[in-house]
Amino acid sequence: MNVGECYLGWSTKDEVREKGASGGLVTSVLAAALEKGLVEKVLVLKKISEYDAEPIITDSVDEVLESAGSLHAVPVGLSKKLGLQLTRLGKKIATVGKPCDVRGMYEMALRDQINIDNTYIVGLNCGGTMPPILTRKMLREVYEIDPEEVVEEEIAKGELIFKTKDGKEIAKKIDELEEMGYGRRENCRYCFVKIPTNADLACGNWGVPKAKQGQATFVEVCSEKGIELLENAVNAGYIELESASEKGINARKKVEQAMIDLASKWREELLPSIPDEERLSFYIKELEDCIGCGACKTVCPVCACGDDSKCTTMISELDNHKISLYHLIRFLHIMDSCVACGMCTDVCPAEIKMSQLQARFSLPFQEEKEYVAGMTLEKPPFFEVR
Amino acid sequence: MKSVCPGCNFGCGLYLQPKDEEMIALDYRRGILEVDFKKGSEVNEGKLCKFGVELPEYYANKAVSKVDGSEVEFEKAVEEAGKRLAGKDAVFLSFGDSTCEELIALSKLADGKIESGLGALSDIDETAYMCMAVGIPYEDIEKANSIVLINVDPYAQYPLILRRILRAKENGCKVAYVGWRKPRNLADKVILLSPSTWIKTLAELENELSEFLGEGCVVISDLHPHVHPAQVKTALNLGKGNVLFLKPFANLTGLMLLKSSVSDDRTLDNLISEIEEGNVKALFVHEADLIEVMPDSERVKEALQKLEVLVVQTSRASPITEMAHVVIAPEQLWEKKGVVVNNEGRILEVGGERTDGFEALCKVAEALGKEKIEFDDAHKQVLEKVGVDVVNEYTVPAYERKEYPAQSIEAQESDIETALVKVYTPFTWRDMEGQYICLSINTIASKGIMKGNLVTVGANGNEGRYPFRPDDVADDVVLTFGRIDIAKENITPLEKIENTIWTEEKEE
Repeated sequence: MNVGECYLGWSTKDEVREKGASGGLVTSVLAAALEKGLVEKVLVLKKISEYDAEPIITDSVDEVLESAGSLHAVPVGLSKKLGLQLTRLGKKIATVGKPCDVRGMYEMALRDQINIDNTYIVGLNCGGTMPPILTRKMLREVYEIDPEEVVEEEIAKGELIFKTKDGKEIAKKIDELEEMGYGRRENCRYCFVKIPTNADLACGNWGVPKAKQGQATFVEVCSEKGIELLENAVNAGYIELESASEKGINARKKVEQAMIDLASKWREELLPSIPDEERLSFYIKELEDCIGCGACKTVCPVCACGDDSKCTTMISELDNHKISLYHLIRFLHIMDSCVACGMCTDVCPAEIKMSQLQARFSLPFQEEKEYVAGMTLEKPPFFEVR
Repeated sequence: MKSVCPGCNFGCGLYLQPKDEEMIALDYRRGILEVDFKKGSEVNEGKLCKFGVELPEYYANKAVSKVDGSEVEFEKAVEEAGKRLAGKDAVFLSFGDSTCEELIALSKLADGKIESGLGALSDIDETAYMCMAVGIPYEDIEKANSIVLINVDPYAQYPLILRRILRAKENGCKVAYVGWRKPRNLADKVILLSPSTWIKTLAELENELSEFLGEGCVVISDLHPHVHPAQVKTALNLGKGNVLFLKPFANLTGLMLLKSSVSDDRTLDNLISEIEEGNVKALFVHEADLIEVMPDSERVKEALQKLEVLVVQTSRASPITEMAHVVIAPEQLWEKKGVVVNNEGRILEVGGERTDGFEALCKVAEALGKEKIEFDDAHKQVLEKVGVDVVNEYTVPAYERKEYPAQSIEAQESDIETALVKVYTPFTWRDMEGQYICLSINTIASKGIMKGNLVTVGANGNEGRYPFRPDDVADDVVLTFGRIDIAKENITPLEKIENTIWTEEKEE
């Protein structure tokens, strides 16, 4: 097995294969890594419902196996969760991760928050995730189904498909849903990184031939650790692999490009540039509802300063500024590292679109330097504010 | 594990995970828990205010069981509480900072007479009680044509209501605010209250706000043991049933539902007076601290010392646990099995598995020869009271609201010219607000106070020196969100300022 090779794979365990969205390969690779001692713990999402899951770090193979199945309406940030455990412990941990999670992990590694050598990352291709409560509303109002009846969801060929307990499948075009204000989180719509090739393995259903749809995962080996993960799972009897065809490889690229093209359109619509003369008034207006809870910093995977950070020293209940210096300092501080995971937007109690504001601040600089944060461990280029 | 934030009665969902031992030692943040944001929670969609974000800090402060100041086993404290309360005509006080099941067990122990401290609301017509206890669903705020905020500034009090109001505004809703501090740019109309006329202003609001009232109008106010009845009556009159009262304790709605009335309750001030006069000799305080919640904490401390028996059942260490004869320290809220009911009447599982606090109340009741209740039976009673068969966090049960008559408000005028105004946030009740005052820009400019100065304020024969914040308050108002040590009164938000020295002294 070599880095760069692509395979189709599936779990050998019937229950996992059935529960998993694409043959249960990811779950089985993680479970095998734990059982055979390749890692000491695994970070997975413990499913509560189709709209709710809790990130857990476990050393139980059974808990890993129970986590099988995809959750598109559970936008949990996993990188920060991983860092809290790994920062100083030095344990070997395996984790799943969407592209933004993986990029967050790289940024954390750049700040010594995690040891990337001890972190085995199974990346998941991602067309986007959806906010759970809005998704429930969409199911009631657009799909006209009870959210509790949903057993599985899937994004395929530009459609959002829900499967119900009684075996029905209802599909709607994502474009149309998003025009109505439903569908994917805004961050996901304009995200360009759809396949996490900086993970150790990049897994998903893009490129899986029609006959094996839902029964197999397309997996790209991206690193030596990726080889370790796959070979360990094969040797442990957890998975079976076969080489991916050229046709499958090309089909995967085509889907990726289509998603990126769509993201370009959204980027133009959602992230227009701010005229220089309006910048101050724009940021004053956008940030006027901030209540200073600090949730945006708490969830941010690239914030590594802790409690004694320059931005937080600018928050005082005795001040009554017209603009938050806390946010302005954060904009500057993470302009070369924001991975646009959108966690800050998700948790803001005042519903300030923090991630979009950050993107509108830093994307002009990132694009000028052709730099995408969180893809490598190299130092970013020097950004200057003009 | 799934949990509910204990910071107020909003009912925000979150996940809590115990840290492993190595991480407790290594993590710079205090506490044994980590918070995760529960985006699948219908109430808050994963959003939390500062209290929720820093919840592990709050939970790090654990009480220990004690008898006469010495640490004892939990069971010993429970046994001792039973012995000491035997033959005493005790008063049982709770603000509802626990599960409904525990409150039912407490009610059994108290022969149905749990004091809530809401005595100031006892003369409000009983037909309006259900509207005080349970508000309209949060989702209805987003659909409102107009919103009237009565002394609720969402930026400082109950921040999770802010997003609902902002969404309503996006839908074209108009917002009016009546209170002591302008809520930034949230409201289309602002009526700032003035100390000399504030009750008169409330009484005459129907005319002032006529363009906001009527169909599709939602009125939002707060409700707590220190709220002035004129404020609650105003909200009831303007809202005509379309009212949401925001409450500072995790399950005050649950307590109010289980009690069915507060007409026999005392105000906290009256309770302290009766302790001072020797009419109350034994007090059982459930998950609350009178010293923290009353403005004049020294008076409360002196009164509590006169009690023959003071039993406190609480999971949180606070000043009252230093004074109690018996402290029963059960599991914290996140560890409890049971449910709470939030401001809108949604029934929510707390998420834990333990029932130590419930069992302790049952054992004390048994020791006093009272009826015991099983946990499952208590849970069934809660479901019956709320009118549901199962707990479902995604639905708000339907509550029967009666029409109520207009509540009369006596339009008083006061001779107070400049007042210290106390505005309560959920954080005030846990003594977590800073001790600073808010002054108008006019006051600051006219007195020439410089940034960093301390201001000396005199009231009730005492003086205090406080840092200040420039704010949108009336010129005759010195506003505080924190428990400020020169304040003495509860119920009235105002205290007459006797003298003010605009010092040049810099803040240390």
